[in-house]
Amino acid sequence: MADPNKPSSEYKVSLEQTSLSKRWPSWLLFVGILALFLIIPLMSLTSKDLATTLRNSPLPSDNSWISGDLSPPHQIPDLNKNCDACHVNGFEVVQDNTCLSCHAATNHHFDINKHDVEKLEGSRCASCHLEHEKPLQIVRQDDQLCINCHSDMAETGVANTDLIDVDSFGKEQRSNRKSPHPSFKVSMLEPEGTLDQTAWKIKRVELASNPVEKSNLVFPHDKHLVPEGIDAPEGQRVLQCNSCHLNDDAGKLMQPINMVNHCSDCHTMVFDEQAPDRVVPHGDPDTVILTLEEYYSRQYLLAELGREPTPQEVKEFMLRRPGKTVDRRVEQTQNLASPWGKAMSIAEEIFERTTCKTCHEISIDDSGKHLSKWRVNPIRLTTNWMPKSDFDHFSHKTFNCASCHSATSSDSASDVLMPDLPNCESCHTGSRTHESKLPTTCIGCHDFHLPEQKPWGGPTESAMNKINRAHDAHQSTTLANSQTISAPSSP
Amino acid sequence: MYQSITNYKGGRYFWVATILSLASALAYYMHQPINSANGGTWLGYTLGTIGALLIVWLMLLGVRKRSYSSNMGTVQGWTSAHVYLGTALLLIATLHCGLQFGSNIHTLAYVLMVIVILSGFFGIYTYIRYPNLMTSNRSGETLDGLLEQIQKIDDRCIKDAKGANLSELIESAVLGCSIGGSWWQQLRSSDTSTMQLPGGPKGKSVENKNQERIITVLAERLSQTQNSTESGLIQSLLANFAAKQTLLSRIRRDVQIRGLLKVWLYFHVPLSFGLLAALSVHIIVVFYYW
Repeated sequence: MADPNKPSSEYKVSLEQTSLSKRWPSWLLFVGILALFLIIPLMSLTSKDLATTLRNSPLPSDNSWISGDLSPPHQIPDLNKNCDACHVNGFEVVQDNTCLSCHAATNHHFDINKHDVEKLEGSRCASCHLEHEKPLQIVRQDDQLCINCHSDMAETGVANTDLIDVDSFGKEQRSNRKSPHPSFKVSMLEPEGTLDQTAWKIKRVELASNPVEKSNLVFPHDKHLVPEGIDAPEGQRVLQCNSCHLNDDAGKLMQPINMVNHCSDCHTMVFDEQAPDRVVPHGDPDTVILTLEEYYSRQYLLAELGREPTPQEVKEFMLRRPGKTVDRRVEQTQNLASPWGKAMSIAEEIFERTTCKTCHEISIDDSGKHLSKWRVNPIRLTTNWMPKSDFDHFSHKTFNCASCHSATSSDSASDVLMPDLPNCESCHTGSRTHESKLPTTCIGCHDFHLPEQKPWGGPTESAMNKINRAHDAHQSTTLANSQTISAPSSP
Repeated sequence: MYQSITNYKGGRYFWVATILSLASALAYYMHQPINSANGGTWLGYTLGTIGALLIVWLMLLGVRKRSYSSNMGTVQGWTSAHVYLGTALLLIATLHCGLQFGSNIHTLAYVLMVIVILSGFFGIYTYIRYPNLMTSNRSGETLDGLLEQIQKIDDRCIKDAKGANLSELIESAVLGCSIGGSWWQQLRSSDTSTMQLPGGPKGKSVENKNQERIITVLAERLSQTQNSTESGLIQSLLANFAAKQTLLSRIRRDVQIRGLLKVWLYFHVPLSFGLLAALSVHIIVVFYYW
């Protein structure tokens, strides 16, 4: 039996007297974590085989060092979880050459010869294209990407530029912004040169300056959109915007307007009420004159004969020796001028008062160069009013056209029906505001620089020249068709 | 004690920590990182540096505590700063990582840090709650004093038992009395006291929780005895065991409170060393994959 006079010190009355310890668990955790997450992963840097073995084992490998997933485009076997594919040397940032080993064909994002941008000196691919971060997107979407340079172009080092400084959109929550988004400008086509050789130049004009479109089209939207409808051959027809304006396949801009498809139902080219199935062709005025002359010559001959010639008479005419009737014709010259006279008076009517004049600006050319002295001023409607934005009609399809385009009150084709900035700002706001509107970043509406300077675009030539050429190509196609006058409104 | 930690020099470190936290939060709010906030932005590196330095400094409290000759501020001041800056660290490290987590060493460091800080919060809770309870429980005595009283009672009981011919019974009860024990028993304030019944099988103990069994046995014996001397001794024994009963419950509660005041440190300290290792790996890796 133990001594009943047990001293109090024999009782275990404090935690220090128990098996609990701070020392050995501290060592265990310290050394254990270093071993598991530093020493073992470091071993995988020594050989590729060991790295592969470790990465496929339950033991921690250098994969335990990965701070976040790669973006989806980089999640390929060669790169994913294969750290040294990009991190070639330790304690060194990922070098551009490493990126270019795959992306050799990638363009510069802007013309580096043209823009010796000070701010970008020393930037690397990875300065903007960040990996291992959420959200998993390798292409930057944030406003700062744009604002860094565009908030002050002079400070950025781009001198003599037409670009306007922009540092915010909507009611940015930090209100001391000095360069809010400017009012919109449109790229409007304007004719230059002569009637025969018209060049269409793009002119950038501010919407706020109430620009006048010089398309040479005569078209009042208001008359076509009256609620009770317009006179059509079958009776009253009520037109909606989409009776003429339909999205293109991409859902962004509008399909070109076409005379045959969109106008000719109502605007027939009939020139003689007695012959409602005879029309003049839509297009070259000389052909119109020829058509009229031919038509009225026939009418004249029929009137002279009083009937259609019989097949026998036609056959005899064909077998007759040539030259026999010359004298008679000379005698009849005076009378025979009649069909031409009739054709001219009808031509004057349709060119100067009715058919053509309804939609076209008509000029007179008395030089005698052409069969027709009436010339139809060439028409070109602007197809892409806002080429510097990436507007998508399809994503706005729940809205009424009239919420942006005031067509019902427009009485002239010279009206520019494009909405200005406040219209967009009624729904959209900047990405860092507390307004109850759709937060929209710069690239919500704008491409990164110009279309052909996207990474996989064409060569880095002057963007505007290229856009002009595209415009010209489009216009020459429509001119060849001569029926097409192209789409009116896109932002 | 708790007053001095929380209100040290008018809550000086409360304000330091609050200003540090507010500054970090404001910077985070104003910051416009590419994509979203993360440790790799200038603010991320700044907050990370502050956080890492804080962790190292917070751990130095363990060193300062042992440097009795140090004149680098009082331990009280250090502890006060430790509590407030440790709390601020939770915010700073969270802003540093921008709430981007994954199954990797970086998040392991964060998780360890959170556990360390939460265990610290438990520590503060005990420091605020238990010292008062401990004082009122002991009624001005010390634990050693209470144990000494137990010793005296035990001595008296053994002496009385000899006269009453109950030595075997009383000694078994005295020896079988449990106080403290393993860390688990201390924290649960468990009572595993035993004793041997007279006439029972040798070596076979019965439970004597809260000294109730011995008191019951003595009471029975008292009712059976005719001898007035023996009766007096048994009554004395009963009185002593009753006194011991009260003392024991106070001692056990005291041991329990002492345990609760310290047990969190057995998690707090080792986990901070785990954190220090994870933090070191985190920093090395971040700069290796710069």
